[in-house]
Amino acid sequence: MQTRIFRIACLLLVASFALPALAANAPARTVGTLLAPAAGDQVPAQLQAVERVHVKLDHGPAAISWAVPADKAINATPRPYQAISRQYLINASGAELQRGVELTLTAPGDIVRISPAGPASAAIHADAVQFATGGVQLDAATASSVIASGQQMARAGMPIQHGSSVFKLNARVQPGTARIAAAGARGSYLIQVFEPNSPYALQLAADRGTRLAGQSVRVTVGFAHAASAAATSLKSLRATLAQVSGVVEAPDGWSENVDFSPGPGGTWVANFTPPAAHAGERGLWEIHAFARGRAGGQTVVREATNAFAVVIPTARFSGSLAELATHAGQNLDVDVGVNVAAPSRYAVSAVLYGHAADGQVKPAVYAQAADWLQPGRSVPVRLEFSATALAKSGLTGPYELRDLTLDDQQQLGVLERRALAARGLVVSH
Amino acid sequence: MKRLLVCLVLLVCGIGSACATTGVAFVHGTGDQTDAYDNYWQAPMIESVRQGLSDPNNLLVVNCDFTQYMWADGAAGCLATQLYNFIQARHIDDLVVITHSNGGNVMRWIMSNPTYDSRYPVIVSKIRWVDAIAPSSAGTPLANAVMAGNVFESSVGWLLGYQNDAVRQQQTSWMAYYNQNYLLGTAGRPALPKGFWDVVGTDVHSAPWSSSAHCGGYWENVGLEITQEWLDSCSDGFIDCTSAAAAGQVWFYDTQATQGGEPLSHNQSRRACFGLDVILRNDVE
Repeated sequence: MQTRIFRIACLLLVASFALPALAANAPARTVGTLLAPAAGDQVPAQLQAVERVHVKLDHGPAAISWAVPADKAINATPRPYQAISRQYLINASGAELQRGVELTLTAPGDIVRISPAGPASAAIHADAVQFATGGVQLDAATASSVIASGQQMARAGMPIQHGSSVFKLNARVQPGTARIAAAGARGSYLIQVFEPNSPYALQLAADRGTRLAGQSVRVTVGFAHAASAAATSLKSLRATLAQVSGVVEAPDGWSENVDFSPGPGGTWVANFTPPAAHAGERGLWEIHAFARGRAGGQTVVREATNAFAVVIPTARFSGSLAELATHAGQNLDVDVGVNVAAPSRYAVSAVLYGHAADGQVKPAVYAQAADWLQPGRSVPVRLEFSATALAKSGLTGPYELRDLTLDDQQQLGVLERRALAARGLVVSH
Repeated sequence: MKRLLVCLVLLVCGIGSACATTGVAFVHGTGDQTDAYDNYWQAPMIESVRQGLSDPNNLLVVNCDFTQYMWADGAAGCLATQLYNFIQARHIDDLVVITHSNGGNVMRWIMSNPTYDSRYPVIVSKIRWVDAIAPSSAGTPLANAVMAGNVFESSVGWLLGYQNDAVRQQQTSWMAYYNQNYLLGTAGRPALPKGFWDVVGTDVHSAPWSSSAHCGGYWENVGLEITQEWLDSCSDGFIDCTSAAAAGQVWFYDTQATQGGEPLSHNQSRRACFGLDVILRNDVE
């Protein structure tokens, strides 16, 4: 029995390699166009011949494909990431820290970190730190259940700089206003307050994960009101935003202040256009929001950070699509036309969907192809959907081309993305 | 499931003689390594897994600069060079890649972007699967916390957190972006070309009196009591279980497979602790 299985497996293996070689005749082409973009698709309106990143990349073509599980749904429209924060930051000078810096605390058990900000700033030793809460002065050891140095934090996997001190406050420090002071503070400092048990979490999201240079970004901030178990008594309180400021930062280090204004449903909104001069670098842009609000007569302070990409539209799909008519057992090849404004290595990827026996359309094969392309007329990039993978899927035509994506491998940016790009692709029998 | 795949491979290989030349590559996590054998994995781990190879020379310990972004030449480029040269030199056609932490992200970058470099498809074609130990596939809140505040000071070149692109990239917001746009294998995204099997650490035993706390080096107890506040109740002290399980498929949660059902902290999951080395060795055989 086992020998028989071996032989069958052997035949299948040989067949999977031999079948493509049987294609002796050049396949005919069926020329068509991509479906019109739908809402949610990312499509560049105008190309820019800008080369910002210069890294050594292959100039030759590459193509690969593999089977994907039919039962795992693929979402071709990325959802913006919602950053959630229960922390805030304070910049303080050494003189301010010696006098005492006000902290607003909304829950017991907060984490307070003091880090020197700059080589001229003195290290903060825990025994020099005092907390004032409810009219009582407490030394750090009395106010904290755990105290750790910067070195101890680094050894625990959180590499903050030496000279830092971190305090996990105990129940003696109650929610409300407290002050932290450090004798011997000199220079400048970052104070980070993290409130893991607070019911007040700030949400921050951009409207899209990827923006093309020249497009505006809309960022929304609001309180999430997720209550933790330790703050059950505060669940009913709702926080409202009173003031929000922000900073946007590009991968090249450029940064600028961002203005927020009240938006719908208690949120605050900022609209800004990242300068194209700083777009196209590898890495992500960051938006930082600094918020102050009120909840039940209490001040709530939060800082949140999120990331998004700003990409220079150096190429786009031309709209042309050529299916190379194939026979059963051959790869299904699809040429996707690309218009190029700046020379680079461009990658096209897509998922081929087929029909299951019950008529449902399901994912079958993922393909990716890349080549170094020069500016000019529409250049085809060929996606080669493996016949073996297609046969393995058990799905049949007509096929659909979904999650069609074009990216620039120099700037590492997604230039165009179509959730549904083509229907009616067939394999002849 | 993973064993079933082994059986299928063996089934097909059984047709011919000496079907595959198996190799193992160890891929370290964040850091600039020049001697990952001694400084990251240590001999008991490497030598134990080596016993699973019919040719013990078919083992590679990768040394790259994983303080850089995963796509950088010093990260994915370096990893590709070392894997490609190993494959060519040893004629490997059945490669098991064992990654730890951020090493899983760098490996996943290569597997997700195989057309970026002409060597990538060759590497992908030779991989049997990746054993991804504690991968930070969805980032870690500790990276968020470390990077906080840098926005104030980066313009003058003084960073309040780690001045390290790999840490920046492992912020949860960054990994969410790359998972949706450049990395495959997470929920809602196309599958990776080869298996990516997660080993998930669920807890940390850090009490000084606990013998299990000392395997792999004593985990800093004081700092851990604070860092845990940023993490879920299920974490290995550095990465939430949800992040470690976010890409590919979960192979096992530590306590399901380790000796005595011991959890594997983030430090322990790169060392020969609680039989992890034997589990990996058996997986290679």
